[in-house]
Amino acid sequence: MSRQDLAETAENASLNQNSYAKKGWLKKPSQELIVLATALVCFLFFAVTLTGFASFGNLVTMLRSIAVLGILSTGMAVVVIGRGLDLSQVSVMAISSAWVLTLMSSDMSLVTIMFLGLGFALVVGILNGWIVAFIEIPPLFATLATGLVCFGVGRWVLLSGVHAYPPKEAADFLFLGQGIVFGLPMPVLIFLVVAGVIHVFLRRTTIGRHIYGLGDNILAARLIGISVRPLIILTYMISAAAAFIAGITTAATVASMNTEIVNSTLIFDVLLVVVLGGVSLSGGRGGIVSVVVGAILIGILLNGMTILNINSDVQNIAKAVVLLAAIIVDRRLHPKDEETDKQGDH
Amino acid sequence: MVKATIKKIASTLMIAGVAITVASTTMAAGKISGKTERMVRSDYVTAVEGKTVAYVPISLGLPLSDYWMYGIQTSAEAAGMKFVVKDPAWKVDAMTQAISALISDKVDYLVVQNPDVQVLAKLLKKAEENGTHVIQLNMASNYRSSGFVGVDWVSHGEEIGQDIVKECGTGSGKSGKVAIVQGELTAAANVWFVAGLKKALGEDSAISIVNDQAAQWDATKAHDITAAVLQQNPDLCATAGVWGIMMLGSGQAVKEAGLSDQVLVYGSGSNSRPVCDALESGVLHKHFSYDSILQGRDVVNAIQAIAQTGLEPGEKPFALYSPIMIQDSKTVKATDCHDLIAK
Repeated sequence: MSRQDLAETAENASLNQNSYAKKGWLKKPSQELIVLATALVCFLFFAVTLTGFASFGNLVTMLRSIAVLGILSTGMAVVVIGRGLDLSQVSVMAISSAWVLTLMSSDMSLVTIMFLGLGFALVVGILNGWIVAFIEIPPLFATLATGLVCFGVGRWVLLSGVHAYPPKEAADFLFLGQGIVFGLPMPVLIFLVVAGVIHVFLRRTTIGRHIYGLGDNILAARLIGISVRPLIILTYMISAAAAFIAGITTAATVASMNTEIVNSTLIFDVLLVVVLGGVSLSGGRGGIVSVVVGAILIGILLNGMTILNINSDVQNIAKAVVLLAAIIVDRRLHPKDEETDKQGDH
Repeated sequence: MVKATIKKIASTLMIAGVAITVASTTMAAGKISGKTERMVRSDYVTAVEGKTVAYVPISLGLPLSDYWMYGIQTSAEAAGMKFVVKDPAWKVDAMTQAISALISDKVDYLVVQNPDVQVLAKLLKKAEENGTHVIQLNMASNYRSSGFVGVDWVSHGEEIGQDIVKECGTGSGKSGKVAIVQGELTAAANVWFVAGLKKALGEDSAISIVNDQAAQWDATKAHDITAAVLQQNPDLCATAGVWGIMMLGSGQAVKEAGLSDQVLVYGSGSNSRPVCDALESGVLHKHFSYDSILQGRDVVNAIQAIAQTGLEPGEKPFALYSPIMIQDSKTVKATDCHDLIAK
């Protein structure tokens, strides 16, 4: 395809998309609004039916229970907005934080150890981005593989067991998960700070806007002079950094890290929150505020069901139904076309 | 006079005769004892030495399974047996593959920790039909194999339940509210433990179970469940779960809520270092512990006995239940726990 053809394709695609977006705004409410409304309805329902649900204490507990999920989701949202996918996130989270716990028994200072952990996460992020951007392997497969490599290398080389525990004298570290500042638990604060920083980055910086451009139409983005490949690598680095922060928050909360979390449904919960929040899997749309709203909806559902003493298997069914509904709504609002089609979707 | 002398000589001769008879009998007995000893030794050597013991836990790298391995490997090698280990790393398909491979290798003894009651049952039966004795370790399946070594889960749960009744039940002046944190709903240890626990709790009408959910062996999930339950029931008296490491999450939630003095956190499991640390810092209150290194030794003892009796696999199934020690946050000592085994 010649350069001119490419430009035409990009232009047409962009026009198509704009017309969809306009239609969406005129005829249908945005997904963000639907999710917010659903969250409010659920909240009111539980507040009326369950005593103590709407108390300040319970709301803080609820926010706390979604803090780690929220941190991961904000990182994932950046990748998905750039039309990528990061399935290695939970591996990075587990291994980098478990390695930090393991290193804490050595003589190194906590700051050095934290930088090492973050460094490990970023290396995996760079690797992900490099494979996707330069070798052009679809992110679904690339990150699935790097996640397995990261977990394997971590278990084999860096860690001595499935679980890692901090030494007994680790008050500074544990504060990150157990401390309370301004009446809010640290995990909630960390979540809000991460969400705030990424929101400002995406909305207010040139690079952030370029990520939307990248997700919306990579060819057009390239044509207007955006260095798309380094940008792709950057999105995966942000996702890996968020994974590291989420891992540290988890490890400090329960004073241990169970690397078996890799085999849990956490990565799907993250995708659930991201899609639920209106970040289209087709890229280029959505924002961090809507991800936070999505996380809160999941938090309300899980907290309410826990209080109702509903079995966790049934809770998984409820989550799955919500995910399915969100994907269907996503597809209805953002129909597929040649431009948004991706490898690995079929 | 002469008569008396003859009598004396006769009695002396009689005593001497008896003494000689006893001495010769004793000597003969000594000869027999040495021979028996040699027979016992040679039978033992024939039956035990060179046999292979294969160990397949759910995953290595956990205090529990690492202690078992240490116990089994050291005892088996000391007895002259070969030791093989397969680590499926929590993957059931890898576990079934490992066991299938060991069946075709015709290993002599297979030691398995079941992830749930059903998934390996058929495979273990096949192993025994193929001539391999199967010892199920701590977590059994629906198939009753040659032996079971581990905790008597129902009475273990009951014991913890009775302790909770004592602390929270009638006459304690407390709310009687109890939250149960289950592990995996279909794991044998969990099923039986919870059955025993509920049976004991049900015997006191003052006790009410306000929440009963599964955290899937995950401390973070246990933390979130307990945090939500505490919001709803700030007067909770106790929370109990089948695995101490998972209950560290619940304990942390109790500590964050500032209720460590009021809500008792119960756990059970091996006496590993993190458990003692948690008891010392008040995150856990009571831990009903079993010594997994000794359980490993029990496994090898059982294997040595089976080997010498010459029983066919599954012919006379038996159980060896592990003794339980109660570790209390008030009395725990650092020496009560094993350090983690480094790779």
